[in-house]
Amino acid sequence: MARFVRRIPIGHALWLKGIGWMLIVPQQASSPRFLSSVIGVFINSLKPPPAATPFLPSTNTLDRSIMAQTSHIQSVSFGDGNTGCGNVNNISNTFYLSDEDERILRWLSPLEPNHRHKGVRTDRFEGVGEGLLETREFREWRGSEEGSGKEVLFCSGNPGVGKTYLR
Amino acid sequence: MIDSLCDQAGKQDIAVAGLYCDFLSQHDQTIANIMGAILKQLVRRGGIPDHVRKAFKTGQREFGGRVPRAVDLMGMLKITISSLPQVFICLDALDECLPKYLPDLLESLRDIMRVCPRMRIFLTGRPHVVGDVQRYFSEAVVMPISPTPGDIRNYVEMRLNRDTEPEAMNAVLRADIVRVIQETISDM
Repeated sequence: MARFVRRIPIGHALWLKGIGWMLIVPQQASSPRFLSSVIGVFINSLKPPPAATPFLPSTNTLDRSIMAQTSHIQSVSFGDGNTGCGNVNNISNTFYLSDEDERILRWLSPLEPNHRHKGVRTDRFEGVGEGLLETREFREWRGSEEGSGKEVLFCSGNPGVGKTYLR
Repeated sequence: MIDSLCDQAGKQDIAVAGLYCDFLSQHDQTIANIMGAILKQLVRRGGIPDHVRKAFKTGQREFGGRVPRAVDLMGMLKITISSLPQVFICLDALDECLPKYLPDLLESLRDIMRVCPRMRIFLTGRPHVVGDVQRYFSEAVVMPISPTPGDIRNYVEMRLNRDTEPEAMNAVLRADIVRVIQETISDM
């Protein structure tokens, strides 16, 4: 695999013929070993997952190679640190298929909230703050009716109480 | 919070966008950039909508690639949010947003809410910004956050278990650490 990977022109897209997938090789992913492991994961992920364990990328290498489906093409991207989460939904994250799409996203805003979210997510201690989801206030907000004025939930607290790390 | 909503989003058709206001980058966190960052997260999912692509091309062509203005981004956000079944916007640490931007930010959110009443907004911040939030959202649900004693105990014990010098620890010291930290935090 590593030998095969070394021949991929970095910064180019690679068509995986026959399966209709495109692999985009970003500049940063220049280590053949890293690439080959990602491609390995990617190819494995093409296999249909067993019924009992759906394909749920989470905190490992898979995080960088989550798949998404677009209208006409499927592709995978990794290594740019922005494909993690904080997105619309972490199960099927999306990738940018063309340079133009990348340019549009950068044009919309130079901020990259996903970077920060990834850090918060890694540092979070599981279970902390879960009580919030059970509170009357949270439910009131979550299920509020349109125009009721309760569409905004404001969690207030002093520095360090864990507002950022609420799950 | 973003993850909890995302977990639910996996099951339902919900879009979640979030941003951490940050004292260190507050000068970059202008209204335009914040609105752009929210829009960016929303359009990542299903491909970039035509109206956004069109605005980009127009901007490139007519103004030599100038950055979008807040008013342009607001328009695109409204169209995008209206086209999605339900959108959640999470903004963390409102108090770290530059004070001069905060009224504009809240005003912009209220403006979007008028057009997109299905949207839900989740905000966090220190208690002194409650007044600002209520000025724009008088009915906002306000919830004071403090860690529960159980949360603190679990966290401290987890850290103690990872101590790099376990031989320096004994049961009495351990119990003392857990007790003192819990007492101190409950006074915060």
